[in-house]
Amino acid sequence: MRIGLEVHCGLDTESKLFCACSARPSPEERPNSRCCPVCLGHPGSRPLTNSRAVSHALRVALALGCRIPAELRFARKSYFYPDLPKNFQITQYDHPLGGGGTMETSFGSVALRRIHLEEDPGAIVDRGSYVLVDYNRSGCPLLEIVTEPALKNAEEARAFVDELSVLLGCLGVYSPERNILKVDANISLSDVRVEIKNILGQRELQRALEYEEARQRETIARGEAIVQETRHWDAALGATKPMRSKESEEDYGYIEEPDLVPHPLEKGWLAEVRKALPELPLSRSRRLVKQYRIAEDDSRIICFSGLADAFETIAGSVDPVLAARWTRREVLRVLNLRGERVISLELLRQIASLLALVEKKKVTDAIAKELLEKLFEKPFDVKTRVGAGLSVVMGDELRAVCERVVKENQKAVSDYQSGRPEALDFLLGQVMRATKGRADPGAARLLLKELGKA
Amino acid sequence: MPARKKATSKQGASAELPALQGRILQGEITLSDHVHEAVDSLRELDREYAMMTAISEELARSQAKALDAEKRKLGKDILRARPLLGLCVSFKDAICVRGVQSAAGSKALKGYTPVFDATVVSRLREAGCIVLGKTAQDEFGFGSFSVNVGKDFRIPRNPLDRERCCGGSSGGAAALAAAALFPHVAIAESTGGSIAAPAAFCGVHGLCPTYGLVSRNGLIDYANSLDKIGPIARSLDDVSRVLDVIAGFDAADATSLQRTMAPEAMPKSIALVKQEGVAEEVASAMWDAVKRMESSGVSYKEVSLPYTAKFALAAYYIIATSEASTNLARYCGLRYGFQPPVEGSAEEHFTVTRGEAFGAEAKRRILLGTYARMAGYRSAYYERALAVRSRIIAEYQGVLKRFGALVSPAMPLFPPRFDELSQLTPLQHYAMDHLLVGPNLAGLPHLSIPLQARLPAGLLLIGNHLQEKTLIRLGRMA
Ligand SMILES: [Zn+2]
Repeated sequence: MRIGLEVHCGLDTESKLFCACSARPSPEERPNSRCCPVCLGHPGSRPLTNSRAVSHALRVALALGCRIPAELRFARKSYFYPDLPKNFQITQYDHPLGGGGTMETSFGSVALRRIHLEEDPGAIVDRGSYVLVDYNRSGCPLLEIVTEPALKNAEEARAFVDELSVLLGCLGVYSPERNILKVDANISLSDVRVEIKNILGQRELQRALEYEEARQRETIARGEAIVQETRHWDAALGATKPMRSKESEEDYGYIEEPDLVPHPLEKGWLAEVRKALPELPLSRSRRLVKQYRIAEDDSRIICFSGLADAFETIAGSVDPVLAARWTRREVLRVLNLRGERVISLELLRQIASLLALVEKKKVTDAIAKELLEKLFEKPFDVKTRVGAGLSVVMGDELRAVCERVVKENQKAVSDYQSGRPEALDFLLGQVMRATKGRADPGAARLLLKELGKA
Repeated sequence: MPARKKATSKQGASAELPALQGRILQGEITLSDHVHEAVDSLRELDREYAMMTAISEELARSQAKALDAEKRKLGKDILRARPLLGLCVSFKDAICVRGVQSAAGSKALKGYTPVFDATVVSRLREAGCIVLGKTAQDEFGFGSFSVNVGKDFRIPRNPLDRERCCGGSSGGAAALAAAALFPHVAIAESTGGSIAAPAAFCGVHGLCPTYGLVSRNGLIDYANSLDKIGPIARSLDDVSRVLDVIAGFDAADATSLQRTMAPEAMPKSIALVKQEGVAEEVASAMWDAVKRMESSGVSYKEVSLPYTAKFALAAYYIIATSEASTNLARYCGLRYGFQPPVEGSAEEHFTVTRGEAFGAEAKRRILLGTYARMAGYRSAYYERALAVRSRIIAEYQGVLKRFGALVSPAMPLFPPRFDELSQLTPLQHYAMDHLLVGPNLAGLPHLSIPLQARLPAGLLLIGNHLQEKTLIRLGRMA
């Protein structure tokens, strides 16, 4: 199976791609309140290119090692749709801002076909028997990143988009809170290509591809042929459905955008943009391995998941190997669980002091994991919570206490052996009393079970 | 008829604006009185020749009132701030004037009032001009005779002979320039010859500037890479003084030129472009003008532009219709302009709207242009036409290196009568532009000046980029 993606992501600029309207939604804005003659396609209005959007796109193109053309050129892509004010979209055709390129991921290099800049259409608001159109988003800058059909499965496709959004965030051109991310995917099990359009977000992408793979396998199993077609992902239904063939066979009749003259992409400017690029995940991963002597595997995952800053902060005060293991496994696990990517500085400080306690064996791994989850719910001061007196009795010390308690309470032990589990609670109570409540209850319970076996 | 007399009296016309300004400064007449008379006179002319699509009386009156107040305050100094004080201007219907119907002569935009002024409009208002209204044109500029007006629009008539056409597509502009009894300059627009053609047919001066010299911001597009805004006026003085105000860089138009016009020069020689199919009377009037220039010390030589002669018309129609077919896509009855009752799907609504809104020629050009840019035909038509355009520019540049200007008739014939026009096929209509599409494709400035003949005809002067001043100087000698 081979999967290729077209990722459309909003660029985090203040104004739209071709007019001065704000590109940033405000919380309680009214529909069609962020519009002007340009983004509404009024007759006689003229587009003017937002150079910030261009430099954002260039950052991405350079970071991905794309070929940069000598000039920035735009084209008109014609199709009729109510959310498209001019009934053509200003995009790039023959001369994309980036040709070729490679995206480094935690699972290897992914070959890219092109990346280009274009304007977002408006949004259709479905009201059942009729639809409304909101042009607030119309004209917002979009970056389209097209991969070669180089991804092997739905999981890889999702990881690719996850890591791409990390990269875009690291480049400072994309913000998951403010900008949209839409994916079109093509998937071929044999030599027939099926396209799935309009998938919103990474989770939906994985669902859509898994559904489509299963659908195609069943089709083949029934002895039927796969049809080359364009389908769309219905998230509510959890299924892909064929689009009307008319939409998929559209001829966009591209012409050069005659209102925008080709704009030279000067070498000096490119050099400036390149110089200002931050450290990218792959080279950062290599540096972390060298600098902190952590496992390469840990380092890659940390960097491609966007946790490198978090790791380096923690590693400032904790053994880096421990910090790496915890960041890669536990911190990432909790983030995935919560569907989050951002860690506040305060939270990071608390995670660091928690791991310092783990390092000094003042809390057990099990307790630390529990505390970590709680920290994400609502940060608290770890040191106060754990307390100086609460440094935990564990390991050999705990084993010695348990052995003594078992020896001194043979009656309870035989009760437990004869099938009365509450006897174990009594033994645990004795352990807690002997340690003044400082024992790790989970570990103690396990030890008691082991020692109490007949 | 007074209109006809004025139109043919070339002398005296240039003195009109300064004379009017003198009377205003002396306090002999207020701008309000002047505008009152001008609007009355305009209404009369419009009844006779149908050259207006909208008369902006309210706007004109409020402008006059404001200028009167300013004059009371500043006295004679007002001329420094408002050099064109009191000059009445009209705009081709495709040029947006805030609050005044701007429809590009199409039913698709009937009732549409723009929310902003085109840059040319605001520059002229700033200079003290009074906006009288919008002038008739072929729908979206699609024609050479102003007979392809949109549904529910009137066909303008030639002030020199009501039974003849005005030329197009800026027909109403040239007609008003010819007929106005008050100082007036018409602001027109040319894509493939729409300034020079009507100027020639109405016996007035029309200047189509270098592409990008005058901002297109606020122009309802025909073909963006070809559209140019320029003046049509009875005198070269008026052409020149209006050009000085509207020319120049505009940050609102990405294709606007940073460079300014070259200073006036005196060419020693001009090139006469050999042309086929020019009516004898027109050719001989042109030769008279060439001889007059020769007697003023400008030698001439005949040249030919074989590549342009062969391919310009085809390249022009492919590029122009390709761009036009995308520009017209927005008129779908959703946000502004003509909107029939909404029934059925969006797609059905678009189809009904566009079917009713556009005239036959607009539909023809949408089909032509859509075909030329379709996958599979794009490289054979659209892309090839772009390559041809580059070679045509090179051919002109080659000749203009050796000569100060190129000369030919603007139109190969006198203005046809309406009954003659109706006999022509669409292809014959397209071919009428053959003398004009070359400079338009190449973005070269060109000036049409009236020839002395039995009926109106124009002499076309084509200069190198930004040589407008030199063309005007040559024009004075012809
Ligand atoms: Zn806008």
